Amino acid sequence: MFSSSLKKMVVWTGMFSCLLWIVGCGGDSGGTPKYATKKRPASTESQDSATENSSKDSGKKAASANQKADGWGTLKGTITLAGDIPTLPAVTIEKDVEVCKEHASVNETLLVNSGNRGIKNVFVYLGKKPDEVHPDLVEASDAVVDFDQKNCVFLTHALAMHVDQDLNLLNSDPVSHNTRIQGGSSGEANPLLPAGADPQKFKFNRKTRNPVPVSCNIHPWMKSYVLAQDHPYFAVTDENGAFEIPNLPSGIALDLRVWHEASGLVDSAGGEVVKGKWSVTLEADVTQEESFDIDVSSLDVE
Amino acid sequence: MPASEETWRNQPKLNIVFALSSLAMLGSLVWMVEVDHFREWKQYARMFKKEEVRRLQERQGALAEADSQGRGQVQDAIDSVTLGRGREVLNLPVLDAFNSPLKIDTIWLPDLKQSIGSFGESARFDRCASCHIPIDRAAPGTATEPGWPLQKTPEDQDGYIHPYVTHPRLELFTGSTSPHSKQEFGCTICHRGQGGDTDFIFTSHTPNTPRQAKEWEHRQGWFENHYWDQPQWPKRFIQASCVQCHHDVVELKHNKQFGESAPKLVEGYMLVRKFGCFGCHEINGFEDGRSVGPDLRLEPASSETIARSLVEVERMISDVAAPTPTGVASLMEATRDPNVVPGRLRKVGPSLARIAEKTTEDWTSRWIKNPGAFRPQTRMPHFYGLYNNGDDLGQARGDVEIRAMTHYLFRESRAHLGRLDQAHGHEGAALQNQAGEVRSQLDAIKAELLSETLEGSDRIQKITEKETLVSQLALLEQESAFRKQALLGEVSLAGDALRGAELFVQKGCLACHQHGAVDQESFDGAKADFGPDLTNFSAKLKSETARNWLVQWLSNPRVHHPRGYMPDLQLVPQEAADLAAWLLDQPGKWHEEVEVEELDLESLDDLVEMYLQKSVPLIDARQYLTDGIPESEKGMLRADEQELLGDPSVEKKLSYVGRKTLSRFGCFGCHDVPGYETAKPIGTGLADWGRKDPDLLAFELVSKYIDDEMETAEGEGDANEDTEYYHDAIDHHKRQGFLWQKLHEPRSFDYEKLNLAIKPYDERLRMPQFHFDSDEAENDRKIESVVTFVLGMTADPPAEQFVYRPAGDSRNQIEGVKLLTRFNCVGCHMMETPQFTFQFNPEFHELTQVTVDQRAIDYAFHATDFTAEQARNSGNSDTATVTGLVMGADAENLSEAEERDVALWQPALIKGKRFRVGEQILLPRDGMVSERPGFGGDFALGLVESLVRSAGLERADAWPRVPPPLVREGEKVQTSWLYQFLLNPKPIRPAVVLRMPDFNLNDREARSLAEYFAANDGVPAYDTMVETSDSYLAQRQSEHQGRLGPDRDYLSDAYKILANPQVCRQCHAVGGSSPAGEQKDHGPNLTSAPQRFRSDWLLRWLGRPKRVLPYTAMPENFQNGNPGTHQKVFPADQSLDQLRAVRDVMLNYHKILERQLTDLRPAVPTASEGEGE
Repeated sequence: MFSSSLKKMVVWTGMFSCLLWIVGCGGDSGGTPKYATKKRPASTESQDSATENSSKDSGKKAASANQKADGWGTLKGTITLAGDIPTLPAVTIEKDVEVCKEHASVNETLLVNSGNRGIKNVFVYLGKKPDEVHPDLVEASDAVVDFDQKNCVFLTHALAMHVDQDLNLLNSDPVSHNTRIQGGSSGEANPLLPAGADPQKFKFNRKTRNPVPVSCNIHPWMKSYVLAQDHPYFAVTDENGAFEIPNLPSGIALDLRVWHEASGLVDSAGGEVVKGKWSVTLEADVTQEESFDIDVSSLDVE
Repeated sequence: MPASEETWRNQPKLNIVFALSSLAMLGSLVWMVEVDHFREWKQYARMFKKEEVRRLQERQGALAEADSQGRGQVQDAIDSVTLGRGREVLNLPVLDAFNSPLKIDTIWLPDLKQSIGSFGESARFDRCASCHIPIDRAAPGTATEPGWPLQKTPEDQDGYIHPYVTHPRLELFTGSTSPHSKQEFGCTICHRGQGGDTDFIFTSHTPNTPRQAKEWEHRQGWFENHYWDQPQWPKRFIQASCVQCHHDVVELKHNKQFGESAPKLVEGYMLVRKFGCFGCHEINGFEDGRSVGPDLRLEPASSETIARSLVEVERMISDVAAPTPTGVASLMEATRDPNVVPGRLRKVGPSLARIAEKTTEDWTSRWIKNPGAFRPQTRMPHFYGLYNNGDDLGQARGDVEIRAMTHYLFRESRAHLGRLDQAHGHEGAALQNQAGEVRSQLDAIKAELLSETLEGSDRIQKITEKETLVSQLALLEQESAFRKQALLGEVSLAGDALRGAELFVQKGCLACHQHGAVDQESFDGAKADFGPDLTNFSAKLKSETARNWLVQWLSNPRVHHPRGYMPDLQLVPQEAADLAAWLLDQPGKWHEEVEVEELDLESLDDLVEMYLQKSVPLIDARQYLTDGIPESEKGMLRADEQELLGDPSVEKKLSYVGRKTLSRFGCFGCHDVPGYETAKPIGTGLADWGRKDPDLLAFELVSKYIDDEMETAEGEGDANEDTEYYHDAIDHHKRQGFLWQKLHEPRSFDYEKLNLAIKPYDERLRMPQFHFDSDEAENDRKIESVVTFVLGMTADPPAEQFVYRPAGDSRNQIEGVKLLTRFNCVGCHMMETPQFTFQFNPEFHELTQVTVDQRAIDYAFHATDFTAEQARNSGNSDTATVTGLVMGADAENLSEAEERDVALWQPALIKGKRFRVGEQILLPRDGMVSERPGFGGDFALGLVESLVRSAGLERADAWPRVPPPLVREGEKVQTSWLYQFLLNPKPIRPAVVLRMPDFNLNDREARSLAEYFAANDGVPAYDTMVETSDSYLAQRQSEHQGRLGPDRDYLSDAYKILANPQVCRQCHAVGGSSPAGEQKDHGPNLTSAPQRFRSDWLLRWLGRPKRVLPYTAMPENFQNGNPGTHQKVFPADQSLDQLRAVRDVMLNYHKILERQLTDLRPAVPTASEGEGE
């Protein structure tokens, strides 16, 4: 009994001092990035196997614990739809028609660019906070993010943010909305925002695993999704299906997630992304292009 | 004679003898002292003392040097055990014989008498604690933690072995503050055995398994003491003893204060209830009007008794209000003997009065022969295909009996239906009449409205009345047209099977039934077996009228069987037709072929002769058989024999044998059978079976049967330990052995008795074979539960003060639990949410990071009320327990890490941190210690999963659409409202996909159930609703005016918020205006709030809905500290006043509405104003 608690104590003290040490290092690295002076991993084998993994078995975690990033790279790409572009039924507006009819009838569940077939509102993000974050990205996570609604549409239909940021809930309509954020254990809120209401602040408890739904029960067609992460590596595709995540750690297999509201975790047509998991390895100081298709049959659209 | 030196005896010899005898004396003295010193209990006591001192010294050693006070205290404790230095010598041999500090611990219980066979009763004295010393000792500093915990594994360093072990659950047993303290109850009242002895063997310890018996024999020389009537219960039956005092039984499982205490016993009780054992074996818990044990008896008269008389049927049906359950109940009430406590249970099987309508004779005869071949899980036991009808004679006669019973049932059923058809013609007419009345009322109101003589509120009221009448009329017309069709002709409504499939899931059928064709994945946990499995249902419904029957049955089961448990699902006729279409569309088959032989006339005659012989001489019997019974004999005959009056025919003989067989097997114990309305149960009463003299049990040759069977089965592996135990019990002629074999193979007691010379055919055993579970091990377990319950029934309660006689809230809670299970309310509604216990994992520290930010808008009354001590204990504990519902989206997204989001339904403490209702926490993927499923709600859970899968909803969005959990329902609703709702359920929430069915409760049942909820939440049953009183409102008014000026009106100001189109009216109908949009997105109408809600609950709900109902979509409209810009009445620092005002105006809704109408009224002549009021 006693010996086991002693053991626990030793382990905890050890872990705590390790933590202190890591924090201390982080502080030191303030100006010049330490990683620049570090050598690349001695064996190139491990790197090869990582790349191999990323192409063959993207679902597996390729990076081993002692692998270190060797620099920073940028990931960009386009996510497109394979198959016929479905026509979604328009949203029926039965309430506050005067205010809502203008924009709200667009069904935002799946927005595909008819030109390049790019899918809008796909979330691409790193599944876990990396050991180091690019110094340029450490800052800028304090700002407040506006979350507004106009003409019974959430102006940010797909929003990715840093968990330290605050959401500023607004209502620019002359009618009431309630903004129901269903973050589960990451944080929930459901304030009533009548016309002309003061903005309300919302803060997540912690990062969300995947994007969480935000809705308005007064206008049941209103939907939006918010992703809050504890790191700055996330992007949402634009109307061309394009995304870009700059300054990702390079030289290690990145465990990315891909999520879209019509499917939840995405399965890509080519098998690059399986159940939302996407493994990519970048090279230092290179902008790498990685694109893939999503088959229309894997989406839940009626 | 001079004295001589010579002695009579040889002195040296004597010296030797004396020396030897002295030595022998000394030896025996030493022996005596030795025996005394090493008496069993003294050895245990010494061992215990030694260990106790060791523990105390260890504790002392662990204390800091400087803590002299603590050390002193422990030293005192040590001294009190060792008696201080120097006095230890008293424990030495010899000395300990005189004033030993080791004393026998006797508990004297003069009021808890024990029976000593035919000698009567004596006071009880228990000395068990002489060896089991720490039996009631709590760990230092705690009230109920065991001071001497049981060793769980041989490696467990902190545990102890018997007898150095504390009793489990000190808060419930032996503890000084427990309801069964050691001093008050002793030990043997529960454990049995010979409490006065202090010897392992003679206290009648009883081993739990044959292996344990061998161990004890080997180690302690144990042997079975046949001379003590009540040996201790073996561990497997210990819960049986609870029945002595706990006659309601259910409180031993569902108990707010103590949780589960005797789950096995309760399971046995529930099984007896579920399988209807009481149909044949009366369990009368009353003696001279006093409760002496569990009471499981049938209702005094089933409604079929009443319905049998056509006069009564007509009376009930022509009466507009009938046939309501209360109507039937009051009829029954009127006929019963006021001195007898009536039974309360309904028969477990369906009524057979209408069997001809739904199925065929072919199906019925095959079903009787082998019900399991059609429905493996059926509760119907097997009467045929068993040991004692396996011989040629049994097989031939069995099939004749089956045909005979079927013949009789169908003949009676057709006659019954004929009578009913006649009567239902009247019902159609009654509905028509009713519709006519409503129509004329409606015309009158229309005329009144047209004449425009009405003003203001009167007019509004009339308009409302008119609308009610219009909808009533539509319903009546639809209903009467439909009834007429269904009962008198073809159901013309065509059903849509596809819609039916959807309805089958949505309308709650799966709360009681299973069906192989529905989404098994969603309803994985909902293995409902309250009603029959409907998988092959269509194979049963092969009669021509089956569709009609089904549609009618679904629309209103009460028409068919007034006392059945199938509720009225409040379906519209089209829905019933759709459901029927789907059910009949599904393929149906028998799992195995069952053939009933063609009628064998010879065997039929044999049977007729055999039965006739019982009432007339053999010569007459033979005569009657060939010539029939002459009409002139009619007066001399009993009902059965009257079947044979007149010329003989096969039909008559069939009916005769059918009747005889139905009586022999007692089919009416579970089914309403026409012609058997007043028949008495056929089996042995079980109310005092637990003390039946085992010598009176007819074991017959069952031991031989088992030996022979075992021999033939040899090589298939050894019987398991439990089977071995029971075989042993049978060999020793113990009650449990008898019972176990009766439930296992009831007919095996006829072993080697099938020869007619030994036993006549009709005396063969009748007890059917039950299948409690299709899984054999599970079946064995359940049999043991039933055995436990039956062994416990001794109808011999101890003195009155020891018997548990709950009153008030406790009584209501027990009655409530019984009703919740009897009507299967718990099939749909969750009464307690699941509980999760997990290891606190520091790496999972995120758990403790629920931001306090989100609590800023809570009101003070939303805070948790844990004490500082509870928080401290939780902080020290490595585990935490939370209670709530798993939330989140589709399971697929969550499965990744096997983490689950749980919304708390009860406040929780995790590592000392307080969490409120509605807050969500993440359960760690590793380190789950235990999970306890909720109580009830399997169907709701299944429907949620089904909606999540099929409609892609979040769980939080699916929950509002299914039957709601009834956690804290008592705090929420007024008992009087609930009572009305149970008897007359009305739609409340537009979002929900199914309606509360009408359960056909009688008045007493509805009242008990309504009061249960209040009792369960510990709130008074009836709320004063002081918020609606004039004095309360006057006080608020003056406060309001004092704050904001004399021209303000409290209720009117509050109504401005309620009627603000930006707030409540977005989703709720207020003041006559309905919200726009689809109905399923609306909230309930607020007009019922004054009758429905309790005021405190409403305040908490409006203040922050999520703190009351975690999944709710209702927004936070009245946040604390933020009254919002949507009202200009209450200043920012008065959010509580605002909240209270909204609550008050909701509860005084009618008042304010009336005032609004008065204000709207244009200038009215003063004369009519007086009239209006």
